[in-house]
Amino acid sequence: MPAKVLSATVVGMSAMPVEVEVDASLGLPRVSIVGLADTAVQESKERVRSGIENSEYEFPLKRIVVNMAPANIRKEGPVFDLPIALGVLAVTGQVPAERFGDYLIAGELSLTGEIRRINGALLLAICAKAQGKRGVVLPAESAREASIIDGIDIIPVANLNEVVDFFAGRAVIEPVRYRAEVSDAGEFEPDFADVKGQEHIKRALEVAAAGGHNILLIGPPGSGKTMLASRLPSILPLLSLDEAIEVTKVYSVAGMLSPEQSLITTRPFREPHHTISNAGLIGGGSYPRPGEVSLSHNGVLFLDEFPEFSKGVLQVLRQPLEEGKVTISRASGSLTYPAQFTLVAAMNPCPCGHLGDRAKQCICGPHRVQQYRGRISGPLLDRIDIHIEVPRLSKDELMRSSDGETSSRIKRRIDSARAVQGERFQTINSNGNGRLLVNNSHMKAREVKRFCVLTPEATSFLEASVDKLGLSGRAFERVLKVSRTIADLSGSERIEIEHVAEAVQYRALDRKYI
Amino acid sequence: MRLERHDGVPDGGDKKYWLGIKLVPAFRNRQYTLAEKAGGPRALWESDHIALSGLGFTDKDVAETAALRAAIDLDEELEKLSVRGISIMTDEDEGFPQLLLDAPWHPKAFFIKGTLPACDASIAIVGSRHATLQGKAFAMELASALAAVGVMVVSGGARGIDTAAHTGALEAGGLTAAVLGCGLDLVYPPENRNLFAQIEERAALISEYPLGTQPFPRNFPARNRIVAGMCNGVIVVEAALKSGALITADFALEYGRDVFAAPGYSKSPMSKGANALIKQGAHLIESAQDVLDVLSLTGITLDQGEPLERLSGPEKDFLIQLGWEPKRFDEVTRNIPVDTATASVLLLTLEISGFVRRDIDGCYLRIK
Repeated sequence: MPAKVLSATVVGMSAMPVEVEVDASLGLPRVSIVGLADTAVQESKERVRSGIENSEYEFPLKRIVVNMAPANIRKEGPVFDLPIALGVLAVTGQVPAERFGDYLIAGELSLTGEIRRINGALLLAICAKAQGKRGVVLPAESAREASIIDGIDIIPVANLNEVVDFFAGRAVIEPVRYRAEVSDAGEFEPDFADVKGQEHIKRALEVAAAGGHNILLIGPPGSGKTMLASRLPSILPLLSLDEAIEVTKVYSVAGMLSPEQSLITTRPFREPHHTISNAGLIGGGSYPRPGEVSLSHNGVLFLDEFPEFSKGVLQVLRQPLEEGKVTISRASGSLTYPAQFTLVAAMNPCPCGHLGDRAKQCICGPHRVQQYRGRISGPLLDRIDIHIEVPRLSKDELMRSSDGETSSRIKRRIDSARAVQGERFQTINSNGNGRLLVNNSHMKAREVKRFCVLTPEATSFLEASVDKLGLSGRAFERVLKVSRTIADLSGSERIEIEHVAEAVQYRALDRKYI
Repeated sequence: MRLERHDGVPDGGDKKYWLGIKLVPAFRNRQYTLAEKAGGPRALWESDHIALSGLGFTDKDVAETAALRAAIDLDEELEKLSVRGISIMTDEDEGFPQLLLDAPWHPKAFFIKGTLPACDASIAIVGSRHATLQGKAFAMELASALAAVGVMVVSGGARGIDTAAHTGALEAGGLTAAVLGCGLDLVYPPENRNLFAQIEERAALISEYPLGTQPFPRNFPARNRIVAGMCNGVIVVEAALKSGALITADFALEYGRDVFAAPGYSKSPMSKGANALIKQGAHLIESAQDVLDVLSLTGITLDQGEPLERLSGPEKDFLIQLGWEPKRFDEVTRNIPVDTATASVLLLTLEISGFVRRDIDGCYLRIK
């Protein structure tokens, strides 16, 4: 009679249940694993044999067949070590199999029988709950991240003996309970109060945060672009529980949670280097893994030296910017990872980096500057609502500047602007045609037309600016969206001239210069 | 009024021979002298080896020229021009600019895309390719004002002052022509593609060089003699001491045309050229009116109103406090007691009405 153990494999952002069947029959002693198992799973026979023997159990001298169903999805990773070991022990009568049906079981074995951490534990717990199981047996190191899922028991196990004792009824293992971590991170978080001067850049970031707008910072080296960008998460609204779980899922799949961490409660800030590959940014690889865009889901993706990223990488950035997710297609099927982030891009103002720098002479001609800026393609620029020049302040200017406003004060304004937006989009979202509008940057042409209505004076002002400054057509819609956000920040229902004027100032790269 | 005309030349008869001459390097280098010596472009094109030797060709040149000539089908070459909308204009043609005809060493034939309309006067505005924003803004202002009263603005289509001059004239809805140092099928500088298309529509692009000629540095002094030749006067806005703009000014002096120069700060290398011209007696100009006064064009008056009068009280105060130095946005708000929203509105309003410009480095500059 074969033994059955339920486990699961991670596919994209969800876990699919996998039934592991183990049978032992007379024949030459060998272990064969069938059911579309990849290399790491095939190797598990060696780990299982040693793990069982070193835990003082007996590995049968029989012909052992392990079958994984359904056979049409590829199983990867070492999470099946523990289910296979339990199956082998059950089929040889070393552990009773009655209670296997109550649990979803996953874990990697070491040769000594210790159980190692696995990736995607949170997803496995969600899967177990969906399957109506009583609980999930997970490596102790991975159990904490799954604890946020209530309604099922998260059983942490450290070695094979513990598991066997648990199923044999010889030991009781206390399920892991979620406890909100006492986060003292707040105090060490970068705060806008640390930034002296640069008031109008902070203001632009405030607008970006309020409307979820992507932003491009243009400034010479040493002007503080990174310092400013890294403070953006501190003024973004707090993560809701659903958002936090989404973020944690991504990090769980990527195996980037520490054993002590249960739920990621702060917005991620990712800062990949410009030599990153397509797969690194978007995700993928032969064992698909979320990329930087997904790791910055619900947070901030900061791309410094923006024009230095390879053309291909910048091209693939377009899908996530547009749709808030990435789809990775493989011969075996396609995966989707979430990627709803705020992009903060930074670049030098010119090839030498010193245009507009009072301390150093720029050696680039205006046409070279235009050429350099032209490296960012129109369609990509289309998705960045705010461009702003970040000046390098002299020592004198820094000394004179007063301390900045604290992030928490800025955040209060943003929260109320976000509340206005939530109300605005409520009716549209409740119609439920799939796309969720969270903030102004999500508006498409139709919503822009409906919600971004200017006063007559503001309309003629905008037309005159577009005409006189040579703003490109694409700038028009951006300006409307950003001016909507600026009006929201000032608590104004109508979009007035001053809101439009500020938004026009944020279109540095769309202007024509003589 | 034409001084001399050949008799009995069939319509466009010489054009294709000029084209041939321009296509053969040995001819092209001394095209006008050779044509005159040979007795006209057709005679030059058809001259045999004896005649060529008589024109000073070595045996090797004669052989090369003959081979090149044999390979060129003139009708085919003419066709190549016409599909691009380019025609050849010779000094026999009715539309050949009178001013240019009066200039010594004028080209006897050039390529033209577009048409040169009749106008009362034409003015060249030339200057540095690496001009400052102030310089470019002034060139634009001059070009707009002059073009608005019917003066054709001629320049070289290059970066910097040239581009600003053309742009200003186009914005005023006036006439502007560009004389290029490369073939008319090339766009140099490439970012001026749109500008050239507009110039062609409004007046014409002109070049002495056949299709495919790259913008070699040696072409530009020759180009400048045409710019000077086509105009009643030359305005130099910003120029270094050794610059193409000064060459243009020199040609204008030789042709007896007026030379104008916009003064600049004494220590800036970018003003040395224009200031040197003033020292030599060029007209110092501060506005388009100064140009019109010298040219004594009757019946033309510029809007004489004090420009600041057009502004509202707060706009005027703000502009005065802004000063003439380039300022970043944060410097504007630090130096002038207004909040950022008001500063945004005022700066943009002033930009729209042409008093302020924002440079590519993000600084705001008062230009009027």
